[in-house]
Amino acid sequence: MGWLVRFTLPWFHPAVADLVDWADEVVGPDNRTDRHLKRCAPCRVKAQLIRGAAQKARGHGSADPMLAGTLDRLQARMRNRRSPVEERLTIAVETYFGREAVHRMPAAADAPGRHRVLRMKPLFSAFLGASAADALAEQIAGVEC
Amino acid sequence: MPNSPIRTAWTRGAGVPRFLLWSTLALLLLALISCAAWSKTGDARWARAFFDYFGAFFFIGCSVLGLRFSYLCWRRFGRGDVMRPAWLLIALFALSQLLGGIAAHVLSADSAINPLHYLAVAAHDRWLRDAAQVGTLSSPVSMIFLAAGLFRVVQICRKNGVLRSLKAIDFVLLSIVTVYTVHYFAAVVFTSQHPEGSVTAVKIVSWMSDPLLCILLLQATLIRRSAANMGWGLIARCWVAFTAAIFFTSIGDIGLWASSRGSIPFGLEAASWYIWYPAAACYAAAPAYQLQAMLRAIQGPPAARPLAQVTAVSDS
Repeated sequence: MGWLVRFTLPWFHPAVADLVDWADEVVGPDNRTDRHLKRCAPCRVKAQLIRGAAQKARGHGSADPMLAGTLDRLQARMRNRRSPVEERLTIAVETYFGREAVHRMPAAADAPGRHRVLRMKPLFSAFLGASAADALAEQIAGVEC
Repeated sequence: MPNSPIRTAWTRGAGVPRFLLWSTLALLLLALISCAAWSKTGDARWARAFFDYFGAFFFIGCSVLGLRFSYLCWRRFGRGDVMRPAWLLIALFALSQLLGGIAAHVLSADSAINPLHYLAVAAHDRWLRDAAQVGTLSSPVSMIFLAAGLFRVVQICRKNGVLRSLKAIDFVLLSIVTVYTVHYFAAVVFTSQHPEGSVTAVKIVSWMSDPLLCILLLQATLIRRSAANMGWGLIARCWVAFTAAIFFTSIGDIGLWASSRGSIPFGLEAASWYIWYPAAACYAAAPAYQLQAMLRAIQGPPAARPLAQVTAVSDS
């Protein structure tokens, strides 16, 4: 459970997608990213850079619709960018179950990125054993589950 | 410090299924040569030499590997793990398959590798008969263990939401084997005059093989459908290997029955003699894939760990 605690606590660095959401004010004012940014200076600088660049591009975008479209696409790609944990989990699911399993297994597909490891762990545990699943979760999430 | 990539236990284990594949191909090539020599010279010793020595060694070797890997898989699962009972049953299947293989391919064969061959004549005949009976009995006994193990696997697949339903082609394949079983029971078991001689306890137990094979094929097809739905991962490969082994066994069984009735051409009959070797290789490859998956999960990719830790694991 250690990694989940780290994810939910405010001092864990948010993903780029969360910073983009914060910069675009998609999320509410007192969310986890907001709480983290109050404490973490490097992330705050990064988030303000994203917000500044987005506002600047929007300023030009009102005059140039092509630039506005490029910005929207860039933001969409930044939001869709997977975190390293998600990348490692995808590789693990492909290695142990198969390429199709990533899309077809309910536990692997539907959960939000951060909770996928926890949702997939019982499946790894069932087919590989608890100790192997623990070791795998540790490799994926970086800390002991 | 060596320049070559460091090999951990699982990377070494990764070579086992490939080794089994190449060994099977080499054996089948030998089978082809011996069969060609037999048909050209008319000397049956060519075929006998293949079955009594190369074939017997291959069967025993695959059974030893299968037992070793399935035992290691069972040991690696913890006491509370849901797959542990399934792998215990699969290890028992491998053990009974090995004992049956020794009895059928070594102890009941009239070959130089049979230690009973060197006993006194009276005892020799009796022991050969007993060994042949043990070989006959081991087939249904091992199938019971495998069916019980696969039943547990199907339950686990269903519980975890990865079990998929059968397709039309699966029903066709299952129907073929079921029709064969029903026909065999009608023609051999439920007749007043048994064509295979008097009914003995060994014969009654051996009749269980075909219904058990139907159950095994159903279980294996269900697991294969689920595995195919997932892709080609290490765990999926393990269960696909079991499915292939059961499928080959079914074909071999049907071939034996058809050749005993003289209803198939010689080419197909000969092919049914050799299909047992790929089946044996698949039975050994399945636990090798599972063990490889477990070791990989525990040890991780070599690049992800410090060098000292990798070499320590590799040496242990």
